[in-house]
Amino acid sequence: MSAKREELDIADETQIRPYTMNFGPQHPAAHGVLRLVLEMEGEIVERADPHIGLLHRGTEKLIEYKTYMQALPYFDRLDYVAPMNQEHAFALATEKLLGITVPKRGQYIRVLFCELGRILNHILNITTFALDVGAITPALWGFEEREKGMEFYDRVCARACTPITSAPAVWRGTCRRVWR
Amino acid sequence: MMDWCNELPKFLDDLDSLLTDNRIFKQRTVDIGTVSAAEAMDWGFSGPMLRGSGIAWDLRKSQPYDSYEDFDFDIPVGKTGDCYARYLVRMLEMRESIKIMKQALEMMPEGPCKVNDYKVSPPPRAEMKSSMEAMIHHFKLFTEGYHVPAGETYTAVEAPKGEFAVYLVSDGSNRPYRCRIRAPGFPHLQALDFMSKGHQLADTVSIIGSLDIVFGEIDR
Repeated sequence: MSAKREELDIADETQIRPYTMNFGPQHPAAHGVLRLVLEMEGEIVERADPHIGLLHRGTEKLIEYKTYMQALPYFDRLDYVAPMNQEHAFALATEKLLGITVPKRGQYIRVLFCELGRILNHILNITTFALDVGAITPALWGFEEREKGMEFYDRVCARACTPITSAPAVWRGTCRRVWR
Repeated sequence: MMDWCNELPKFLDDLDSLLTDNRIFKQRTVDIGTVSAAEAMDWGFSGPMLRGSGIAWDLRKSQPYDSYEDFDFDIPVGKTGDCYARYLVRMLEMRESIKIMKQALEMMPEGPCKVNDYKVSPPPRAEMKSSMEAMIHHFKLFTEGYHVPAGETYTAVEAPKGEFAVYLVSDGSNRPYRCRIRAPGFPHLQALDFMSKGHQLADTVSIIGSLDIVFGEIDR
């Protein structure tokens, strides 16, 4: 698949006009709302120009008009595949400004859920990546496992996608029934 | 949760057997979108994208936050910097994450999990029923919020996609004066142009897949 341009057999007389092509934003392999303007020389990509902004909501400015606690849910919606890790960054930043640290148990719980988020993110990425290059089965298996992992999110905060749990200074979820 | 951690490696083995030695998968990913270590540094890569190019850089190791220093884990590093290396790095990272989760569950300390200061964390519900002061704290916390001392901070964590950071400037009020979010996907998407140059259209799809982009964070 990785044929470079010089490897292709293009005769000198054959004039191929660089072809501008839109890839996305509705293309299933664009992973969301990526609009890619591609300049093609036949099958070969000459230039790829990503057009972003289709999901722009002004999150940063919205956060500046909210209190610290109200700003937290915006972080869930940034990278909606691994929401807990984003919250964690904001929580740590706020705690640094406040000059406080969460007790050891709170830190361990955060680590636990950050790693859970990492696994869920990588499962989603690898399986959809495999889907893009033609393998369907990993996605079917992976989403089953992802669903199981998201059950833990569900248990600690009654929602699977936007947990809002690693608040500054606080772990807001209930963890009693999760471990055992 | 422990059960899930014990079961997951089996799923990862299955996934490995499906993809890692798969001829078609390798044809589509090996030597596609190769990024050298120097290029990865120049374009501001982080996370699995950087480690796929052979640079062992992980914020959890280099500047541990929230007791990551207590845990024993390794940083998988790729050699070739192509889509396949990034895939392998992600696969190994999941196994490392399982290791960390197991350690966290085993070593979970007893005690409170939130700061015992009602100015920043809500008092328990039961206490609010009897204590007027706790009630006031709760009300203030969820209406006005807390005032954060003036200052600024750039705090970065190792999110699954790379270095996710928040730059906060506080002016002493209850709202951030400035909030800037550093999303890992943004520099990765910038690099798409040079990564896909000279490749076929179908390879661009593999490259996008291996970039691990999510638009919520890129567009913000």
